Amino acid sequence: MGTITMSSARLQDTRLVEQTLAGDQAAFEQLVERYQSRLFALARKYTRNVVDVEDIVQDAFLKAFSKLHTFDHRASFYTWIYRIATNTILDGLKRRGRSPVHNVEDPECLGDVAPVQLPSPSSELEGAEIAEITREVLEELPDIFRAVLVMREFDGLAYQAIADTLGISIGTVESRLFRARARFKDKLLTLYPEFGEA
Amino acid sequence: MDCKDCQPLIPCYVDQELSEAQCGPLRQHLMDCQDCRKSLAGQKSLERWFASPAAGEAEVPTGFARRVARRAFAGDLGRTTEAGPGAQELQPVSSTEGNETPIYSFVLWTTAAAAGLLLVVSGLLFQVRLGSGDTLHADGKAPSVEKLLERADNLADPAFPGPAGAEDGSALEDMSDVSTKKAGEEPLQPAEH
Repeated sequence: MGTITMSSARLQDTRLVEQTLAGDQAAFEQLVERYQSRLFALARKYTRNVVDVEDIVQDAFLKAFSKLHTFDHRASFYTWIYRIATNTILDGLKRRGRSPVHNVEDPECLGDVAPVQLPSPSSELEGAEIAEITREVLEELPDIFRAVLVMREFDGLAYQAIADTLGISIGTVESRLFRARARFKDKLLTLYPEFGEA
Repeated sequence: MDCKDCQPLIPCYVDQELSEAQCGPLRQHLMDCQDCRKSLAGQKSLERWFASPAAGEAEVPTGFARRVARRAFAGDLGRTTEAGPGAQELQPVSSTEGNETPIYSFVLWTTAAAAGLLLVVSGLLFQVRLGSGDTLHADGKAPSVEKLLERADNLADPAFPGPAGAEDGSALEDMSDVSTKKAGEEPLQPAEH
């Protein structure tokens, strides 16, 4: 059943892409409607600024439109646009100029990071509260660490998919993930030392 | 398997990225090693922070799709159209990316301009040093006029064991030509004795 639904969705995407390429504006509007919610959710994982999110998602769709002729239907449309969106988000964040501390930092040269033991958030914390803290901590991380964490922890992407999306090797994905997790924990404990006491 | 082999595999184990062949010995080691079990627990401790459903919620502004479609068909390609990463042409996110601040760019361009200017000035100086045209110019390294005159005297002296050609005065003529051109004076005459 699931397979039939998925195939149907892909067929519909294929039809909409073809119609868009033939000059049908309404078809592209439908395509945007189908994926806008997921891309907004994706962008919000990278930044809490609502204006940034809208601009970035819009850029991602416009970029996808300009590259639509390269979509070869081998992967799903979402996989394809996810990659475009992720790179657009990272470009957008870079352009908006994040803290100089983040910009001059070379995360690949930070040396070994000691694994930090981190307790899970207490059950008293509400889901929304946890999500807000997580987003706050993520925003403090260098973009390349945030990207692998979002892709792996939020979106559940396999190492290979992360590597393909970012254009890096699987070994680099492993190493970045390891460092990103350590940095996440470290930053979390810096911002919220109370989580280190449990 | 020992701790040294086990530790690097733990994150991949948590992410279910290991093959069964790799998982077997790792599990065996984890059963025996408390330190590695702690490490495993530390790696898993992040899960809860990313499990919140609220993280996936996002509101879409009304009319967003229509606006985007209109802009796309009006030829607006967004602000990041240069080297836009399609699925086949993704831009790698390297560690050096994102370091370009306006100041960084300014310094780069200024350095490039200074290097270019230096190259041009060096070229000009080189041209000036080489000189051009039919006339010769004296510089510090060339023999002085006095030196040349002294040599000419010596050559004219019959007792001087000069080189072949000195006897018929041809070498002297050559020499006097050079000294004249160097000094910018009348051609030298052999010294009268």
